[in-house]
Amino acid sequence: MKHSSSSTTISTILLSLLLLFLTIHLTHVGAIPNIQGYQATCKSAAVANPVINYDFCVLTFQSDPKSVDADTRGLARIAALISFNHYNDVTFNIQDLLGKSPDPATKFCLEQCMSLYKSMLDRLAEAMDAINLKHDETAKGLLKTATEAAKKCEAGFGKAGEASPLTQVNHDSVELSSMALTILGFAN
Amino acid sequence: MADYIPLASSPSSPPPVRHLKLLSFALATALLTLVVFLNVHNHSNHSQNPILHPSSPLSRGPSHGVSEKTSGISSLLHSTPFFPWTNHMLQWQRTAFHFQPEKNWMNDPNGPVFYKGWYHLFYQYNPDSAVWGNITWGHAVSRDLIRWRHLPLAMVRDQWYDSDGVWTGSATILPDGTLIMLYTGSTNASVQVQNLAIPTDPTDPLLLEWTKSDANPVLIPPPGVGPKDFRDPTTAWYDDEAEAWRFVIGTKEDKGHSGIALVYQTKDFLNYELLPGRLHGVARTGMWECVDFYPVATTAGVGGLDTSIVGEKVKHVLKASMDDDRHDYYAIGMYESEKVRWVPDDPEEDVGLGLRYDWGKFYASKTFFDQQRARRVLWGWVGETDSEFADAQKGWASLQGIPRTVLLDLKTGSNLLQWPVKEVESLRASSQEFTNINISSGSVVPLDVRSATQLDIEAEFVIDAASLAETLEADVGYNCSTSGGATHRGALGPFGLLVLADPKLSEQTAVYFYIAKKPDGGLQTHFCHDEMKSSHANDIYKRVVGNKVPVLDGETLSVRILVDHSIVESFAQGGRTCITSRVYPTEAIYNSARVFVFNNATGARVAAKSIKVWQMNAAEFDESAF
Repeated sequence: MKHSSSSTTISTILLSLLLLFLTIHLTHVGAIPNIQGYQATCKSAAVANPVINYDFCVLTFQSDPKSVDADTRGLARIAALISFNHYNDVTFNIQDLLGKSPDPATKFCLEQCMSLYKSMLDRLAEAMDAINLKHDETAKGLLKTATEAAKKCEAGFGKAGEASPLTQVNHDSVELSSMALTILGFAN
Repeated sequence: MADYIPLASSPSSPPPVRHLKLLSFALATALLTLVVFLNVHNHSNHSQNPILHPSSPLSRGPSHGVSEKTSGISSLLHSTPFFPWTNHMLQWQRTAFHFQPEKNWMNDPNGPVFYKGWYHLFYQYNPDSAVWGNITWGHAVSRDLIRWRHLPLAMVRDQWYDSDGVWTGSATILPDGTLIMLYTGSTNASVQVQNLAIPTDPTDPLLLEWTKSDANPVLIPPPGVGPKDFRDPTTAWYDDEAEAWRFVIGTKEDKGHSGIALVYQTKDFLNYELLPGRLHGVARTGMWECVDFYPVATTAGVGGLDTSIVGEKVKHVLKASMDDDRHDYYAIGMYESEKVRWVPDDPEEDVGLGLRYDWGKFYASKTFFDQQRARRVLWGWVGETDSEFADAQKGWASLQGIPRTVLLDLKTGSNLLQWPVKEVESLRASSQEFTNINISSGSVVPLDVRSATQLDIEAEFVIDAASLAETLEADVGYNCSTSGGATHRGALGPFGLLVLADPKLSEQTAVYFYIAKKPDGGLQTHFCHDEMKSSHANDIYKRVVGNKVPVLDGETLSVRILVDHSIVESFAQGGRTCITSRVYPTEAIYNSARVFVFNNATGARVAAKSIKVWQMNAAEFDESAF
């Protein structure tokens, strides 16, 4: 007659679990890096704000070595910094496009965009300072303004019935400033 | 394989078998509990606490190289909307005789070298904006380290292996005069790698064009080193026995949160060997950036030494920029070339634990051997301590400190001496000397210095012996950063000078000595900058900074101060303790700036034995000599 071996089974399960836990424990001790902090933050940001794309967010932070050790506030600041540089780059893009003698309607929209983007440089610099100073309401207001400015620039072409040559960069502007805003919301 | 417990031959199993099962059950549970506990515990204590230096609390998470905004006992807590900066105030901030590009962002000095009659300075530069980003190599040349001619960018982000940034590197001159540059590239996947670049035309003394090697990247992060922890190769030195070149790259390891220096060896700068172990490491100091490693003479009259000089007759300085606290630390010790190890003379003053080149705003520094004048010269990045907003408004950020010669202090043996290069004196215009000024306790005395924004000051103070003897109370625990600065009155300090002060003294930057009596009756002198009243503006970082300064028997207290608009650099006791401050006054600017001497000690009779003040001309490059 077969003897019930439930305690055997339990022993087996426990020992297997033990082996599993030991494996996990040892791999951590072996300094295999955990998931990068900013990857987790990007995940949360993408969930909190559908404008933010997880892969884009991760790639953005990857380019800055300080992202690895940054806390949430630090990541918000890095996102604001990258936004600043991006908005600045866009002003050069617009300058190039203006130099190609566009038609009057496009030219008008480009000039509107230039004025918007240039004024946002100061706002984004202020936002970085506000993040440092933990004046989060101020910072969020400034970042929202920067996001709106990029949308306004893009919308201008639609209103004028012109194709926008800035769609991709405007989209990135919205995404970067949104990243800074959303991630700041996670910070303490 | 599952346990196979033999079937009991009868319902009444022998007791030993059942006990065995129970035992293994209990053991498994106990071990499991232990492992789970260890796992959880290990996570929470995972990183060793890095050493935090009280004078500079961490501001976590700013981007690499971005003008570090560390706050001290600070006005930031009470701020505030942005100060209404005017163009008049912001334009005044540009310096007259410190290196800075015409606009935009700068950080680390790179590849300083003297080559075919010219001093070259390269530097981390953002060609597009006044914040860190898009990093390329800026470039300038000079005949005298003071008057600079800006040149086109030397290297840009045009390869996959540096498309994310052309970062810091160093120059090595081979015995036949060949110049090579090793620099860190951040690849298109943001991995840090080392690359080789050589002058496209070695006969061009201006080194305008650079060719990146086809073999790049010549070094990638070795096993165990993180892809973002591998940067800033040093100048190489030649090892006679190995008949090869060696250089250092700083990194870190999780164990002990240690900063460490790795040594690579190469004969041709194309193929490299990572030497076993490490040159040195210090626990709890975190990532070592911008490592520097060089010999200093232990006998007088020698000056600086070529980087390849080794042996028992010299000491070696090991220096690193501590990423965690954004300060540059050095230590003096002995290098053993056979073992490829360096040992500090005093382990308690090891790299990251002891001395800094400069107790103020000074980072990512790098020396080079100037073979023209047989001296070792130190460059250091001096960032901004104002707001990003102001930087964006004014369209630029950062300076290089005044280049300094570096020597071992033969009198103390335990610190370096740094002093502005002699060529600075060529900018001295009119001079004034004030002698034997008695500064009574609690007084502030104006010096009749007409325009006070570009000055070279040399001052000598004496405090009378009776004051020193009369003071009985020990003044332990004085520390520049935690003191109340120039307003905190002690028996024997503070006293010194006020620069960039307006006539009403509503703004002032204090450069001062503070003598503390030790319990054993001896004296300890401290040397500090107090920036707390340097400006009405509160959207800037203002701190009290400084350190002890050795004063030997018979020495008077001496200080040299360079004032150049928004930078004040001072050198106490011939350069034993140095401090750099960035200041942004709103009123003590242009013709409103003045100089005062002050004595805020309660019990000390202080006299300024001599104060020499030179007006400094702007450093202008002579195009005709080009």
